Amino acid sequence: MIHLENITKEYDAPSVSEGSIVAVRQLNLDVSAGEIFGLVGPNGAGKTTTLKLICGLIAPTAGRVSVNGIDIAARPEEAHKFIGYLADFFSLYDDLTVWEYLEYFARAYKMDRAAIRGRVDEVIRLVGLEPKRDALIHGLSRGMKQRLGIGRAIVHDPLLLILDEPAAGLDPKARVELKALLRDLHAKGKTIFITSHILSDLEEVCTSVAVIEKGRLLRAGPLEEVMRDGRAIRRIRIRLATADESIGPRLAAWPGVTDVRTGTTGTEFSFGGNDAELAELVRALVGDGLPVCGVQELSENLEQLYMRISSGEVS
Amino acid sequence: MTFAGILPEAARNARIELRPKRVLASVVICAVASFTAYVYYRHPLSPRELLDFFLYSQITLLILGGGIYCLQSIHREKELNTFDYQRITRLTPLELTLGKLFGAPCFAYFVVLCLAPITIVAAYLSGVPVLTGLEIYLLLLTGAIAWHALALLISLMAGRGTFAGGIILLLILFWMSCLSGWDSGGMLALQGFSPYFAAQLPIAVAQPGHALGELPAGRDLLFGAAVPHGLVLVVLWMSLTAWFLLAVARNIKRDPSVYEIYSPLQAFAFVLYLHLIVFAFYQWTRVYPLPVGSGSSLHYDLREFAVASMQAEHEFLGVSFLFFAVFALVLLRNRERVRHRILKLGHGAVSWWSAVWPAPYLLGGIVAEGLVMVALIRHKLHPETGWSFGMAFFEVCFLAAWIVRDAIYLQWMRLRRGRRSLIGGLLYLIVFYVCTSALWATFAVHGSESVNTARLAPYLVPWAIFGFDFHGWVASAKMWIGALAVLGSEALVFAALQRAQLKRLRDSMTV
Repeated sequence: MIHLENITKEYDAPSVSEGSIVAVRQLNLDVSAGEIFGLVGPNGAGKTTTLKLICGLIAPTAGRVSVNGIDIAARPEEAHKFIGYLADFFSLYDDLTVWEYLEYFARAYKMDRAAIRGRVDEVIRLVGLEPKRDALIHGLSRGMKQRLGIGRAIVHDPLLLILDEPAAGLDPKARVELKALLRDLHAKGKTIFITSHILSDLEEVCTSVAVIEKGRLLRAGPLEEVMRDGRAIRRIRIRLATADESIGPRLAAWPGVTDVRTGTTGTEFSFGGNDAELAELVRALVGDGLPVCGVQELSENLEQLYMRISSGEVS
Repeated sequence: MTFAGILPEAARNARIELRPKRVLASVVICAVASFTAYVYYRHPLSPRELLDFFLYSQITLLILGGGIYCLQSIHREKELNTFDYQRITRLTPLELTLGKLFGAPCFAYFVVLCLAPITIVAAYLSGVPVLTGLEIYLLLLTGAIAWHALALLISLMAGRGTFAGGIILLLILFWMSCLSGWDSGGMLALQGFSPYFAAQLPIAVAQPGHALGELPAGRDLLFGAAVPHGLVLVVLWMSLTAWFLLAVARNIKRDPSVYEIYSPLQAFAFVLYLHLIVFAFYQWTRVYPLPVGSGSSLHYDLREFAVASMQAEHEFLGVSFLFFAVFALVLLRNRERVRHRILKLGHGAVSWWSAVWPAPYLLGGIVAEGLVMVALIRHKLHPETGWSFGMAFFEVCFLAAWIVRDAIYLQWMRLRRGRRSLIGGLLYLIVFYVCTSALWATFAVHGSESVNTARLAPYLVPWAIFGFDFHGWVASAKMWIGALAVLGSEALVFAALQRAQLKRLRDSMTV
């Protein structure tokens, strides 16, 4: 659905002494149709620039962007048919009503005139703004405006949704509703490209993620793969039916095992081997007569992974 | 581009601007104003004055009021961060532009519509023919659209926080257009560009004949033939609208960092079009008062004479300078566009040919225009003694060198790092000319025999070329040729600086 090929965006820093800023550096990225793709990175990493490049709002210094096979620079109007976009810092037309606002964009996206009324009402329902259908936008709360912004992004039923920090400023309830909405849209076959600082939210909804820092892509792929790839050394916990203090020294003597700690929940250790080697280790322990009743790989959440990748622990 | 495509943006503006309460208030205010004015102007004043009052009001409201709405339309969207959403809709650039052109000033159109009934009544009472009435509104409409298109262009190009500057620029241009007008000694046989001509139309069509030294009432001379000024204005407004819309439409959906008002060829065509207007309406004969008799019987008779070749030449050069100076500014490239060129052309983007930008277009344009000017002077006038092709061509070359030097300097400044490098460059240029003028004036006042101020003029104040004549040429030809060589050398120095800047930019790029 999205294809970024050697994208670089370079511009002048505000201060002369700072030289040029490379917001995005030779970025290659492919996002398949039907994915919820999360882009993770600190402030100034190049997330918003990447999103704007995909939308064709800014021209890359070098490289090529295509959406659904259409070159965004060559045929922007055609590509925009497939894109719904929500900026991180956005504003709405305060003097229009909710219905008028969505109807304007439905017409601007050249939807079939006969279908517009029904579609606008459907979107209003989808984003939960029925009670505010004829209210002026300036009277809406922050959360409602955010939902209206999403409504605007989906009003023309695009295949691709690009959302920049859609959860920013939302209360917990609105965030839950947003996640439900994203899942709903995903179930309808939409591709969603999303950035957020709230990594736990991303982890819940994303099927794939990419980590970007200083304009460079550090890691990208399906969520499970990225999480697994990030861990060169896995953390394993083994539980015994009855306590046996010999497990510690036995584990420590095994190749690839480090940092062995025994606690109330079992014995934890870092393991540098693969799944087959782990199975071999467990078989050996059982063979030695240890009453192994549970083996668990301790998972790391996206936030921890991001922090490790970002701090350079993971190459 | 379809009508349905223009509609969404126009309808959005209309929805915002024409809310029922606002519409009702406007109707009531206009009705009260109309009634009050009607009563007041019938006794003791005439319907004619009533008509004038409402026509002038409508022109001001529609052109200036609507212009300010247009000026705000894109600029405000950029400040509110709503513009990006419009840029990624499927509206084509032209549809979006036209939607804004007709949508943004819709409230001004509405007020004009509210004032139309009383204006029609006043026109009827004044005995204005129906066709004249229609012509007035056609002029008003085309003039308003041209001004709105210009305001839209300013709005698009204006950076953040420059809205007040945009309004001032629009007001200055409007004021200048009202000032321009034909007089017996004027250069163009054109009754000005004032949008208020629409209000003067009933008088113009009612005036029979004209005196010597005056244009026929309500008419201009196009290549010597009388044509209705109203028609000329409509054609001018429409053609200018097309040029302005071209500039807006080719940029409105672009990344602002790579805005380019016109492509070099389009800008060149626009300059040629403006020159064509000047040539088409140029007045080859003028009326001057000639003293007749002496003593108490001295009086002045108006006589028509052919323009002196030197005067015609200087007038053409003045026009050429103005148009090509603006042309040079339009051609300047910013750093972002140069980055793209470097990526596209590689070494070619930092070659000497690139470093003399925008000289090729300027040199070609000014010299071509100069040759046409010389040919026209030869064809239309009988050049006086002393005027020669060689001297005229030298003046054209000097003007070209002057503009080219400053253009290459500004291009160099434009490529330097800094937030407003071009503004800085323009300010330095102004400071330079103020200083050289002051220096020259000082020499002129306090200079001794050893310092011949007239001879220093070509070096210090290049605009001395507009006062250049046969005597000056004979007296100080070497100084002028030397000054031309200095201008050329300075242009080369700035080209070298520009090339160094281009190389620095290329070396700083990561791709």
